[in-house]
Amino acid sequence: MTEPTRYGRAQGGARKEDERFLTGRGRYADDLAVPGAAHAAIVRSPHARARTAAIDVAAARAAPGVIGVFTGADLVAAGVKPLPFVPGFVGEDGRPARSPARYPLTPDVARFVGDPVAVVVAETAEAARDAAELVAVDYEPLDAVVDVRRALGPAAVLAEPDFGTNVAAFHAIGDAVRVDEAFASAAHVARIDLVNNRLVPNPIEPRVCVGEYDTASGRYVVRLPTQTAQSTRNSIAASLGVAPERVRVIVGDIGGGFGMKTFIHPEDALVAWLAKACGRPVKWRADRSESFLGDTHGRDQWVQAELALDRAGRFLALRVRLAANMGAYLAFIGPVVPLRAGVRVSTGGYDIPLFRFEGRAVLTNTAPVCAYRGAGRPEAIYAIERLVDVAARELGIDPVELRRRNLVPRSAMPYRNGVGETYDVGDFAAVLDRALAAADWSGFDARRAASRATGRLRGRGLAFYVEWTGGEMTERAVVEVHGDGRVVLLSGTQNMGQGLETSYAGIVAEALGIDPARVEVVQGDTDRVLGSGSVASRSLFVGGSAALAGGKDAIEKGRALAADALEAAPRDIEYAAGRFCIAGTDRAIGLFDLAARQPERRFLGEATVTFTMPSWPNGCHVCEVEIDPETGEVRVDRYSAVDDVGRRLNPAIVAGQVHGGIAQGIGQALLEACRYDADSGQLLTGTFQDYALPRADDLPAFALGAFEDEPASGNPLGTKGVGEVGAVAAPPAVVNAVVDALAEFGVKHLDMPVRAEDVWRIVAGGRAPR
Amino acid sequence: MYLRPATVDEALAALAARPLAVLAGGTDFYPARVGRPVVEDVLDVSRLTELRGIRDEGSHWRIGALTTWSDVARADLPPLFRGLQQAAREVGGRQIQNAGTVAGNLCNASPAADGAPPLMALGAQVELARFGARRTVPLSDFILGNRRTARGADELATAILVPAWARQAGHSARSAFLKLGARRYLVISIAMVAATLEVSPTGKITRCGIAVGACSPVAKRLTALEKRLLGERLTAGIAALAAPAHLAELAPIDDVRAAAQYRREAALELVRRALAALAAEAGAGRDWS
Amino acid sequence: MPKRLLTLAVNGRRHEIAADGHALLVDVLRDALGLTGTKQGCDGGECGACTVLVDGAPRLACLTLAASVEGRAIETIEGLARSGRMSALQQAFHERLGTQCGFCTPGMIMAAEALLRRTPHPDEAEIREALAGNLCRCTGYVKIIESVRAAAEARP
Repeated sequence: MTEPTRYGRAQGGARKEDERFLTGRGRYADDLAVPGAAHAAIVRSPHARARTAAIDVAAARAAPGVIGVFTGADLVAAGVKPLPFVPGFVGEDGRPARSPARYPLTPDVARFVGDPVAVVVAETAEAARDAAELVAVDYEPLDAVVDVRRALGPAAVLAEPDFGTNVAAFHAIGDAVRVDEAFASAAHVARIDLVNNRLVPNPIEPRVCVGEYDTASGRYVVRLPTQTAQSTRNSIAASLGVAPERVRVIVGDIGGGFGMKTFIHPEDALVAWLAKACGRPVKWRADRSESFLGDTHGRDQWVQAELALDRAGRFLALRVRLAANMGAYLAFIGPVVPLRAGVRVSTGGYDIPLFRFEGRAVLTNTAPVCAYRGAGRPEAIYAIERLVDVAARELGIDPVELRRRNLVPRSAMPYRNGVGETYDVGDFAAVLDRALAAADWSGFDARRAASRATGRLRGRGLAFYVEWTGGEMTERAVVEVHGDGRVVLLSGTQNMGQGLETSYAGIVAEALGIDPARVEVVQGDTDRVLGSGSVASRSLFVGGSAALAGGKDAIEKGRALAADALEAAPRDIEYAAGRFCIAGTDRAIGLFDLAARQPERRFLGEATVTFTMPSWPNGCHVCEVEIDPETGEVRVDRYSAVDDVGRRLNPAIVAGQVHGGIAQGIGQALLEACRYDADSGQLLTGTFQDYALPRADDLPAFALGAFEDEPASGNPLGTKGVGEVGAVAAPPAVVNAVVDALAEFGVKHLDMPVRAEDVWRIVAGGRAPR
Repeated sequence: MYLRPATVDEALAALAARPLAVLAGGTDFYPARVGRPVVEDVLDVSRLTELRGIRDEGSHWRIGALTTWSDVARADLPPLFRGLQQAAREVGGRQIQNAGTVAGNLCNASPAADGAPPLMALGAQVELARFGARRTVPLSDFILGNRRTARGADELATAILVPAWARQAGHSARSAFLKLGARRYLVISIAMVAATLEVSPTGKITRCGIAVGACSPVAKRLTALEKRLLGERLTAGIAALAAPAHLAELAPIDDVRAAAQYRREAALELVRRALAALAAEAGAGRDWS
Repeated sequence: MPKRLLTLAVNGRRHEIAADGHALLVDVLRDALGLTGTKQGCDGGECGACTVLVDGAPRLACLTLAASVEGRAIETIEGLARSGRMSALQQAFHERLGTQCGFCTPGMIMAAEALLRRTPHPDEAEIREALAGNLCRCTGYVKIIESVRAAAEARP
């Protein structure tokens, strides 16, 4: 159904939404002036697991400015229900997957450091915080487990003893017997055992939510930065025990989401309930330290992967066993990330006929783990790309050559991968070649020699990725044409910095042949528009295609109205550049004049699109690092990439998305680690001093190239998802480069983040003591 | 209570009357509270402009207690202060450098305080005033431990005094500072090293100070190494004189940032590099003070 | 805590505000003056989102007592545009896509503004160093640095 278009292409880099951001007039939730709002402060568990036997709130209640103090027991008594999570998973025993019930405040047992146990509402945020200190919780500490490997070990402490196991969900794919046979007859088997490090997403805007309750209508309004307004609304309603229509979620500008601001967080439902309980709007804003404790985290998988190769270096079979740390409760789509999303691309860009996967979603006493930029796919690509490098080194085959031998050829498209997913289009070999050229791969030896001359080690690494994007493949768009000259697009996707206002306005404007400045984009208000939100790099190709279809539908609806107005048959009405006219005559009516004649001075186009084909962005990233062998410090010296994200509507926006993903990927590879103390379960990395986000002077410039020869076949825009590709590709590119630089010391693998100390140990261990 | 006196005497009178949390740039004060409101009584000294600035007073240099890191980084100072100036450029980002004071950094007494190693390697003293009295304490005696100093509750640090180096004709002095962390800015350092060397006209080391930070609760002078270096000629070979035994006094810890052994080894490497850098600059005939 | 009357000069206008002595500049700007362009992204001194200019130098409003900057010239993001026209630096961020989600942007622009006033033609290393106190999670800093450089190049 590909229909080459040039929708949106006309625009430059400058975005519609910029001016308010650049002048300090962004509309973020913390900036709202909410008349009469009270402020909530949450009491969080200092223990990884503890029974909250008795909670004495008397002193807090008596503190100045306090409006109310509530515990989990109060919520349960009032009929509040646990937060929902997606069904459809089973445990190892085949029964439905289980999670401890997660209430907005836990009524009985705190299950991780940071688990909300009580809340204080007061006149000011300061008064609420002061009073929260006075809530006396009588904790009975219990044994806890935080590390996923320990959680699966013999005699492991159980995160939830009633369940009898730490494995909440289990999923297997592939024919184990045939895969075993392939391994048994393989000429070579390469193995890797790695941990994909736990990350804290850390958008710079902390989570904020404001709840309001209207007694007259019995409706709740929750204002918060969420990527998924409708799902969040439904979950809030489920927790409050009311119909979804009784909750309205309103989203303003979002200061970065990265998957963390999806679905439901306990505070979202809590502020709604508090607003009713206290009879006034209630606002909660996370401190950064609370964000570290209470936001959903990302990654944290233990992966063991094996690759069987024949004598010619052809891949025969892949076996992946992973255990994903889910934290103390299954987050809304927690198990989807490792068991459903990531596994789709476990075989990466390679033709690997046989595949076996066993994944376990494991409960521990840590913050719940959910989506973070890439959500499962970075973990899958990291494993296969590290594994291919290990195989290349063991076999003495150049890592580029080994990849070339095994990449899915263009001629095989559409190609069904070993997991069972079908890639529609792609020219992986061409992308690889272009990336190597862009990276001056062949000039590496000279650069390495130059590094050597200054006492430094230099390594290069590449990563080839294929990414599944799309998630929910249905989206609706409404295009309102107003008599005052405006066009309003309503979309259930969500802008959070990725430039959707600009891209969508361009698409609709081009469909209607009008100036994009006339197009307003409305998102994030569940009373006005529903949809699946912005996750899994879906917005442009699903939501944008819906916008295009909505624009076209507006023309059709307008054609009928114009026929009426011009007293002609609809089939005789032609539309171009904002005017309907009777073919072959000069009788015409403008788009907006037509709208002005309608009873509500407007008319609507609407469309719902449903795709069957996800988009499969792919690309090759190349990294060179330089290492100071005496201190172990690693510096990313060069980074280049060629990405096939299909047709690019706005190349500058695309580049910005890739840049950001790469920065987060380099952060994962070299800087960021969320660590809990293995015994006490205390969070050890709870500030930006200990959890190092990349800063401006930590990163090099990135050289990007685009490959547009293979537009996506599944959507009319020909685009593929781009939001996550950098975060997918960068970690293996960087780690492959580090391992390459240290090859002479015989190192096979280093877990992320690769710290100076880890490198130093390898260098120090590989040479004579001084 | 919040006090913001206009003169040092007023500040000292207030301190004599009651315990007060002294606040200058606030760069350590607020983050230590992790979002909790300020409840203690505060003495905001930011108006005591008489305490700001760096002055050559002959026998020593006076760095007023309100001198910010940016002031240090931008001041026209002799090469003796290169190490301190380098440290100043690596304390947080620009905004922190513009607000944070060198004296505040010392009074806050974090084991990873950036100011401690370069000032210790310069042989600095801290000037403390109380109402009607004034004393000076060597920096190595001033910082007692993690977040503990010799400052009395009624005392105010008014200046850091750095002795004049290279006072004999033909002598020169220069310093260097190196820091290792997950990156340069805004992380707690893994190891920091500062070195100050004074050289005679014949190129012999006549005086030196070597200090290591973040490898023990308090930054430490490497006195054994300093002794070893005295009388040596400042050449490229000087770096090799630093040996593991010279770092015996350090007591690095294992924590989430780094293991003790790595800190120790990294500190030795940084010491050698600092010495090598100073030797290279001497060899290159760069301007020494 | 007794309130004091503070007189602050913000974006060229004098404001009299009753605030307690402990009040932080970021809270006074956001809550009392409604200047919500100054953001708060951390618990103090780590993210740079609250960067404002005090007498032309970048400072963190989250670590600055409002009382300590009485009588000094405070500039926030809201003060950069002149009669509705974005400044050259803001315009450069617009043209070069120096903003994505926009949350770090005000602090980033103020830090860059301070740099360009002091160093009108910085090289890339100087730009990176001047912005190292400002966290951005969206851009990888690439287009932010391009924006600052473009603004510098457009200067005489």
